[in-house]
Amino acid sequence: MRNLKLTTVFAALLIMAATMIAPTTAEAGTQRYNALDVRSAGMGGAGVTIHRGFSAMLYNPATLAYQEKLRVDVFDFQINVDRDLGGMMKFYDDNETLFDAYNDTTLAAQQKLLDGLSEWDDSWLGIGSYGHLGLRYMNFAAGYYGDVKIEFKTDKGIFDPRVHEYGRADFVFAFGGAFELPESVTSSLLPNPLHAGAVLKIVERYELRELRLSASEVNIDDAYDTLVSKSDWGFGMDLGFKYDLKPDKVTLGMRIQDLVADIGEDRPPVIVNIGASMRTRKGVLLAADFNDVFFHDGENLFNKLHFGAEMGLSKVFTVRAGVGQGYPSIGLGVFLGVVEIDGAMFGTERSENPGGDGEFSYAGRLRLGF
Amino acid sequence: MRPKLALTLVVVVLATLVSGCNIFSWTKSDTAESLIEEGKAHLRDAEYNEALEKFAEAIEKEPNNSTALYYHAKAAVHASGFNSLSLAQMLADDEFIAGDDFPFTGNDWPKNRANDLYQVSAILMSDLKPIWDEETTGEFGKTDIDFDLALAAGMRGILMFQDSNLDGVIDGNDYNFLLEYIDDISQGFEISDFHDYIASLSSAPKLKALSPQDTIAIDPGIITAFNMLVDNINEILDLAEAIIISIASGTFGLDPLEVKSVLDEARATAYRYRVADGVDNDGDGRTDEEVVDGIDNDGDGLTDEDSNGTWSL
Repeated sequence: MRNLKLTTVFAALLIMAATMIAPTTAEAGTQRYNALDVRSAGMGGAGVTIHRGFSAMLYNPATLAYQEKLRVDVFDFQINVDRDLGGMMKFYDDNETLFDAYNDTTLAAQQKLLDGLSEWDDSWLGIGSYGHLGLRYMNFAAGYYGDVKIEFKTDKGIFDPRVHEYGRADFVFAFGGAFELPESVTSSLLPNPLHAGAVLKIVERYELRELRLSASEVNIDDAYDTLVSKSDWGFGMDLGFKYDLKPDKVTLGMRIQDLVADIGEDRPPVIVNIGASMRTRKGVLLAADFNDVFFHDGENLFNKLHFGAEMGLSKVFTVRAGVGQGYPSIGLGVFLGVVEIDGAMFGTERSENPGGDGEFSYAGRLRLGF
Repeated sequence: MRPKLALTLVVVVLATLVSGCNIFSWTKSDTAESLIEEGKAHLRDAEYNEALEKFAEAIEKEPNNSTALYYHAKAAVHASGFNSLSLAQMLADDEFIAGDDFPFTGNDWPKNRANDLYQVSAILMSDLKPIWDEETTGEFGKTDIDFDLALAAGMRGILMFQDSNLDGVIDGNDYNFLLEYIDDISQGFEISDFHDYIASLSSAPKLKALSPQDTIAIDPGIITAFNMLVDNINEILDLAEAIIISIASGTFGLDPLEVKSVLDEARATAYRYRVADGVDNDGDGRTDEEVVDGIDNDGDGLTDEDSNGTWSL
C-alpha cells in the first residue's frame, strides 16, 4: 500500500482549507461608527447644524459658537451594537463547546456549524463604543475622547471557510473653537452673522488590520491583543461653518472633515458635509444633512441623505425619528438634570446602493455632567 | 396635539423599522455592484441558483470584476452541495481511504456526482483563473483564491480521466478507465485497461478478424483524441501543482514536495500512455516501444504504455 495516495492528499488539502490561517487582501467593510452621536443616530444621522455640546466637535465645530455657559461632561459613554450580532452571538453561545474544539471535532459537526452560520454569511457585524471627558465654555471646547469599533464576519468561502476580524480604536485629544467672521468679510453678501470653527485633533490610533482566521482561532481576547500590537500617532483638523438664515429658526452649516490629517500610513480623504435645520413654531427641530458632497466614495446620491426630527414631549422626555441612508431611525432622550440617557435604533447602508446591504443597530448613551 | 403627532410619527417609523425596508431602494441602479449585493443576499438565504443568476449578470456587465467572479464561484460550489468539508468527509471515509479507488471514482462516486463536481470545477476554473492571472480588478486578489483554484484545478485534472471523449461532461459516453495503484511506490498508478479502451474505440468486426499475432494500426483520429486528453490532464494538473507549491511552502502541515510528487505521478500516469509521438514518455530509454495488447512487452512492469500506435488481440 502506498504511503501517500492522491485520495489522502486531497482529503488533507480540503481539511487544511477549513482550518488554515492566511492573510487576505480584501478590505475591511466600513467606517460606520465614526463616533456616531446617539442623538444624531435617532434623527437619521443628521447633525451638521444641531449639536451644541462637546459633540459639536464631531459634527461641526462652528456650532460651538452657540455655547454660552460652562458645561462639564464628567462621564459620557455610549455603545453601538448591530442588531444581527445578538442572533449570531446566541448561535455562538449555543455552540461554544463545538467552536472551542473546532479542529478536533468531526467534519460533520464542523459542517453543521458552518451551515448554521449561513444567515450571517459574509456580513460585517460589529460593536462600537464612544466616550469622552470634556468641557466647553463660551465658544471653545476641549476634551479627550475614545472611539472603539470591532467588526467581524464569517465567510463560508468557496472551499475554505473564513472568519474576518477588523478593529480600530482612536483616542483623541481635541480642542475646538468658533468665532464670528468679521462683517467686512460677510456683510456685503450675508445679512446675518457667519460663524467659522475649527477643531484640532491629536490622535493615537490602535488598529487591527483585517485578519482572516480559521473558526477555531476566533477569540475576542486574541483580537484585542493583536489590536494593541499596532499603533500610530497623528493629527487631524476639521473646519466648519454655520449661518443663521433666520436666527433661532433656520440654520445652514458645512463641515470640512480632515482638511488636514496624517495618522501613520493613513491619509484620510477630505470629506465635505452640508446640512440645514429648522425649528418650527411648535418647537419641533427638523434637520437634514447631505454627506460627502463631492462623492468621494462613489455612493448613490440617496445613500448620502440623512434627515430627522426631534420633539420635546416634556422637560424630561424627547423623542426623535428620522431616515438615514433610506433606513428609518427612532430615538428617545431622558433628561434628569445632571444625568442624561439617550437611546436610538437606526439603520446604515454598507453597499453603494440603497437597500443593497443594510444593517440595523442599537445605540445607548449615559452622560453625567453639569 | 404634540403627543398625538409624536405618536403617529413613532408608529410610522416603527412600522418601517420592523419591515427593514430602505425607502430609497427604488433608486437602485442596475450596476454590477448592486447585482453583487443582491446575489449576496440570496446567498445568505441559501438561494444559490438565484445568487448564481445575479452574479452571472454582474459578470456580464463587468467581466473583469473579481468580486463578481469570486461570488459566482462561491455560489456555484454551494449550489452543487459541495464544499471542502463535505468533500473531505467523503474522502476521509475509512472505507475509501483503505481502498485502492482513484479519487472521485468508484462506488461512492457515481458518474452523475463526479460530473457535478466536474462541472463545478469548470466554473471555478473559468471564474478564478483570471484572478490568479491578475487580469481583474475588485475586492479579491490572487492570494484570496489560490487555495480554491488549486483545489478546483487538481480535482478537474483527476476527474478529466473520466471525461475520456473530452466533451465537457462525464456520462455514459465516456470510457470508464480502470486506474489502479501499483504496489511499487515509484510507479504510482497505471491505466490497467488501456488495451480495452482502444478496442472500445475500434470497429468490432475488424478486431475479431485478427489473430493474436497480428497487429493493426490504431486509427490516427483515436491517437490524436487520446493524446489530447493526456495533454489536457497534464496541463491542468501542472497548474494545480504550481499553485499548491507556491502557497504551501512551509505554511501548511503537508510537505509540499510530497504533494508535488503525488501530483507529478498523476501527470506521469497519463503522460506515459501518450501514443506514437516519437517521445520516450515513460522515461525507460526507449521510444514508442509497446504494442497495445494487454501485455508488458518491455518487461518494465507496465502494460501498453508508450505505445507505437498499433493494437493487437
